[in-house]
Amino acid sequence: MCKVWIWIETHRGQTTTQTAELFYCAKNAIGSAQIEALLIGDPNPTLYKTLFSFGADRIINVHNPRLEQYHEEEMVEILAQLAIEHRPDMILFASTINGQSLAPWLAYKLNVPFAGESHAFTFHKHFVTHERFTWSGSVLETTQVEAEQHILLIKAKTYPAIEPRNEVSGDVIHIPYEKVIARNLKTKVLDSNETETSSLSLESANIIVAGGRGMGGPEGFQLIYELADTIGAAVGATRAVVDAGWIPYEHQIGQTGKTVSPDLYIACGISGAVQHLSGMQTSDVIVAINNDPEAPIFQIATYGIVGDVRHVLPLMTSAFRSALKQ
Amino acid sequence: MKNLVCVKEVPDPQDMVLENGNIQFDDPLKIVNPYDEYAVEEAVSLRERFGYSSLAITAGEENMQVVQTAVALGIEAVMEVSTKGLSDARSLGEVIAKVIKTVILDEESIGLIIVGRQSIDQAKGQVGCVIAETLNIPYISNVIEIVSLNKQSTRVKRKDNNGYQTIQTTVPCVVQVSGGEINEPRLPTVKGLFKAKKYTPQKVEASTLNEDANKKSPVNGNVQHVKFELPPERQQGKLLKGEPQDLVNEVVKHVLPILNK
Repeated sequence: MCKVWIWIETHRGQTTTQTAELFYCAKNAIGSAQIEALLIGDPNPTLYKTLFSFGADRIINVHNPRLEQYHEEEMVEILAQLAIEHRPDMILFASTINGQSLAPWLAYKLNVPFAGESHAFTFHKHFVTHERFTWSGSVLETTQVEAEQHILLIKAKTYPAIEPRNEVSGDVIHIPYEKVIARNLKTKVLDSNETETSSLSLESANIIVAGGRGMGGPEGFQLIYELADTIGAAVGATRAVVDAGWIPYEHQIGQTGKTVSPDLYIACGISGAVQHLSGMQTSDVIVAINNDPEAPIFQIATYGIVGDVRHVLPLMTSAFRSALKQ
Repeated sequence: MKNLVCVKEVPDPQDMVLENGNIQFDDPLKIVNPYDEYAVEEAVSLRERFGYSSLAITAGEENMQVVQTAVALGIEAVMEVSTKGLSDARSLGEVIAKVIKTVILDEESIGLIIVGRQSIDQAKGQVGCVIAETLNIPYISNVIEIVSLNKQSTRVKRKDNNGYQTIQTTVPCVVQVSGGEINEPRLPTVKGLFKAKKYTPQKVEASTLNEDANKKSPVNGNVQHVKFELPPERQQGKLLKGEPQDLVNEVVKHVLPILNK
């Protein structure tokens, strides 16, 4: 009975990593009987196939050339209109840059309670229990939301990716743009520039190599990239090195940056200030390399290596390289 | 015209203890919500770039740290809004919007209303859009640069999942600034600190303001706080000492299965 909407985000015509996780949530955690993929823009048959293989019962598509350029204000207006008309029980958003600002805005427009980004949920009738980190990651908060309609902002890796099924067809409902067109928009998009890498990669990464001030400078940071390349990891950093300009902000992990929980986190030359630890403490395995045996990072590390990171890292890179060749 | 900046005062999480599922603070150090440091910096730098002064608004019970810091950093005036019993993002945003409408807009026109990305205590990122919706003015999230600003309009750069875009809109307008990317917050000067010591903020009692005739209906549902817990404790790991090559080999042996997953 429960009708779940999944807001679909794409990057270069493909669904993002988190899309398959949202479908897992709808199907297996919520147990929804009616999963509808909300695809605003890009009526692309390949995308349809992917969404049906993830378990979409229907795809709701609104298309117009104007929608090719992402416009947040227009998106929130369209979603609000659709939600008022079709009354889904739940709307799922992945906690991406776009999801994080769209979900609370839509919740306010629809008068739906908003609990913020969460990483664990339990579902029971009209109740959804959320678990989330607050106070810069120092506290785990549980809240219970009771409502007729829920908006969930789901952190990356909360659920595994759903296994695609063979079924790759289903209903696509095309809603004419004119029916949901947002009039009197207050903002105007003048231009959009796509950057090479999608900024989603860090939060979805299974392996992260991160560097701190102990790397000595931008040149020292090259060692981080070399290890990351070798083992297929994303690159993270502490606020100190982002502020110093060694690496752009989108790589920052911790308070005022990103929160990650990869399977493997290799912390290089990071002493482990609370503000950084809050962003990575839920990583599965943590390897730390630091020359100070008293560094706080060692208190949460699974394996700690005391040593000069600029000496140890190249050894580690070549050890991984030869181990992976075998 | 002046710009507004919304700033929240929070206890330092490092001074927090948990007792029976509740957060307790024993005379904690108060700090400016870290995300709001970027909002304050942006307001100060807008004065330097375009000449518009700024007013900081802070809501809550006690805001000494916000008042002092804002003035020390170069914000011209601070308004303290007393909001007894209100704490969630939605009600705070609505109260701030009401103050802006009934107290500030009467006197002077407003350019930007700058908010930080989120607070560290609630971490919802909702105050900005609530203010904008309540005042029926534009809202732009994830702003990484204010490109231009005049008495009619502003042009800003914002980021989204896939890159960057430029947005044009009219003022007043709410801009939510991205942490870290938009600027590097400055430290207060000695002169600023002296000025802050002598400064008395304007105080507004939220409950005395007239009810808005167009007030939005209350939220359709119930959010109930259940408990606070400490994050699951990590097991103390192994601290390895010895020849670097041996240590590296041991670690690589242990984590290789993760790579091959």
